[in-house]
Amino acid sequence: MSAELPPADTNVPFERVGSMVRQLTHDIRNGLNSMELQAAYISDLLRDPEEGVDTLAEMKRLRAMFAEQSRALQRFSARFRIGEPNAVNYPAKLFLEDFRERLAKTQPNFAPQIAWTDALAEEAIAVDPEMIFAALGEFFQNAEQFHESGRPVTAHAGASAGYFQIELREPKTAVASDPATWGRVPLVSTRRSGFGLGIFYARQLLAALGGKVEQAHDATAAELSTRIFLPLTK
Amino acid sequence: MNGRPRRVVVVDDERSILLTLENLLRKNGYEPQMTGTASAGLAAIHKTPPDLVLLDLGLPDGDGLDVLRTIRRELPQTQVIILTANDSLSNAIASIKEGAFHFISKPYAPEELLGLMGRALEQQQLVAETAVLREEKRKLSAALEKAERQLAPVVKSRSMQEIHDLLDRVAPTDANVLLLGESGVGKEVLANQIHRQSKRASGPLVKLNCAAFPANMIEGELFGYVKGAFTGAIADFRGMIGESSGGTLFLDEIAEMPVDLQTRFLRVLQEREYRPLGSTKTVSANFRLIAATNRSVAEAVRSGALRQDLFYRLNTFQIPIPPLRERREDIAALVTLFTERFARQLGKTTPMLTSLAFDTLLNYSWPGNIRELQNAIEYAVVLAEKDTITPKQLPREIQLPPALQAAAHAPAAGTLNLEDHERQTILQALAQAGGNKKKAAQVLGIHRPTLYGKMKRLGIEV
Repeated sequence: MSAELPPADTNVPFERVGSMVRQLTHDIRNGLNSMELQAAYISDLLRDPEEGVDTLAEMKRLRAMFAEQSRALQRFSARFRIGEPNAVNYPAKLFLEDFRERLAKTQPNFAPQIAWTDALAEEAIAVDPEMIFAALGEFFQNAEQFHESGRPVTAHAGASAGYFQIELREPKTAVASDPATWGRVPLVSTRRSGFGLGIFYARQLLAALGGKVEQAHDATAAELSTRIFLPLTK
Repeated sequence: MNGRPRRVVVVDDERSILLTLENLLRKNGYEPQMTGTASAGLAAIHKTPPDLVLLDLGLPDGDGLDVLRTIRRELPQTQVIILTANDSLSNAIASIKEGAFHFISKPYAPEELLGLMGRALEQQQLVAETAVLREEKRKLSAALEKAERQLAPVVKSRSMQEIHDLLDRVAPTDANVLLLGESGVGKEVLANQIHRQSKRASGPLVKLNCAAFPANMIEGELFGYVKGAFTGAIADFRGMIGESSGGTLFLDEIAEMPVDLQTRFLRVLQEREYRPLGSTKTVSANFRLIAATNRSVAEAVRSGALRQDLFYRLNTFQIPIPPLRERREDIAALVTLFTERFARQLGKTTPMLTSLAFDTLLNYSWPGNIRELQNAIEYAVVLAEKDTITPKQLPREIQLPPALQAAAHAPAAGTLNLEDHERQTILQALAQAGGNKKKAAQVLGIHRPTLYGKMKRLGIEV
C-alpha cells in the first residue's frame, strides 16, 4: 500500500461552497427549462396534433425528465452526508457476484467490457452492501465516463493481509493531477452535474466500514489503477 | 409498535437488498421475513398475513404489480410499499393506483424507508381503529334504535289503542298535531312516534321546551339570529326552526310561549317563512309542527295565555293523552318494560314483583304519571334484593295508604277553610311520617290522643 495521506478535510472554503451552489442552481434551472420546453411542445401537439407524433411518448419523455431531476437531487443530497452503516456479514464471493449483477443492471453497456478475475475462497466481510455498492459504483461509473476506448478494462478481486480487495485497471494516457490526492476534500472541480463529491463520498463510505481506496497512475503503462480495501471478518 | 413486533414480508430478488433490509428491520424492532421471488413472497404472505409488505416490482418469476393486486384483493388491511430500482413515474402511478401505500426508489436512505414504513403502519392502525369505531357506532345505533323502539307508547288500554289508531293515520300526513295531557303522560314519546312514522322520519326531530327558556331568550332559540343581532350574539345561530328544516319541530309547553312571540310564530305557520333576529333575509321554513301542553287548553285560551288563532292553527289534530290513573291496564306492561330496562342498565337480573308490590303500584294514583312510575321502578330495581321487589323497595309515597297519597302530593292550597286546612295539615304530617301516628303527632307538636281525636272529628281514616 502506498504512503498514507492526511485524513479527509471537510473544512471547505466558502468560495467552493458558493461555486457548488451556483452550479447546482444552474443545473436545476437547465433541467427545469428543458421540462418547460417539453411541456410547451406537448401542449402544442395537443392543440394541433401532427401526424406521426406520438404525444404519449413525448409525455413519457417529460416524466423521465422529472424522474432524472429527482434522482440527481437524491444522489446529490446523499453524497453530503453518509448515513449510519447497516453492516451485515457477507461471504466475499457472494458479495462480488452480487456487485457484478448490480453493475450489469446499472451500467449495462460498460459491464460486459470488464474482464474479471478473482482469487477468493471462503473469506467474509462485514459491510453495508448498499453503501459499498454505492462506493464501488463511483469508481466504475468514472471508469465508464472517462473510458479510453480500444483498450481493455480489467478487474481483479482477492484477499490478502486481512483485506478483501478489488483492483480496477483502466486505460488512461494521462491524468491532470496525482490520483492519490483525489477525493481528499469535497467540492473540488465543480462542473455541470459534478460537484467534486463523488470520490470524496466513496472514500467516506469505505472509511465508515473500515475500508479505504488507493489510486495511482502508471504513465508508462498508461493505466489508472484503483484498489479498494475492505477488512475481512475474522 | 403496539406491543408485538410488526411482521414485514420483503419480496426482492436482490440478495444484497434482502440482507440489508433484514438487518435494518430487525435492528428497528420489526419481524422481517425475506423472500426472493413472487411465488415465495405470496406463500409467506398467505401463511401468516403480515402488517406490511416491501415489494420489488421486477421479480424473476412474475410482475410485482400482479403480486400487489393479489395482496390488495386478499389482504386489504396489509400495507404495501413498492421498492424498486425501476423508478419511472409510470410504475409509481400504476402501483399507487393498485393500492400501494407508497413508492420508494432504490437507492433509498434507511431513515427514508423507516419513516415511510412508520407512516404506512400508522395509517393501517388508523384504518383499523376507524373500522372498530364504525362497528361500535353501528352497535350503538342498533342499541339506540332498540331503545327508541322500547320507548314506543305502551298500548294496552282501550284509550291508548284509540290514540295509537289515530296516530297511525295522522303521522304520515304533514298536519300539525297538538298533544294534550298531564305532565309525564308520554307526550314526548308520542311526538317521537309521530316523527318516526312520518314522511320526515329521515329529517331531524328538533325539540324545544317553551317553559325551559326565559321569555327574552326563547325568540332567539326559535328563530335563530345573526352575529351581532344583540349583545352576546357572537356567532350566527340557525335557531330551532332552521334546524328542523326537512323534519319535525316539537314545541313542548306551547302555552308558556310569550304571547307576542305566539303572534310571530303563527305567521311562520301561515306563511312558511321567517326572518332570524338581526337578519334582513327571509328564510323559508320547512317543518312539521307537533305542539304539546299540560295545561287545559280552554283555560289557557280563556286566560289569554294561548292565542286563540294559534290554538286553531295547532289544533288540526288534537290528541288528548289520558293520565295513567285512568288507564291502569297499561301499568303492568309499563312495569315490565321499565323493570327489564333498568335491570339491564344496572347489570342485574330482572327482578320479580311480589303481588303485594304490584297491587301497591296498581292502586297508586300516579300524579306524576308514567314518568313517576318509571322513577319508582328505577328506585325499586336499585333496591331489589334476591331479584324480588316488595312494597318496601318502592318509594315511600307509593307505600302510603291511599288516603294519605293525595296529601303527600297536595300543594298548600290557598282557598281552603280552617277545617280543610287542619285536615290537610294532619294528612301531610301522616304522609310525612309514613302513616305512623306517633311520629305524625310529634311532627304536628301535639299529643297522640289529640291527633286521634282530631282524625276522628275530621273523618280521617288511615
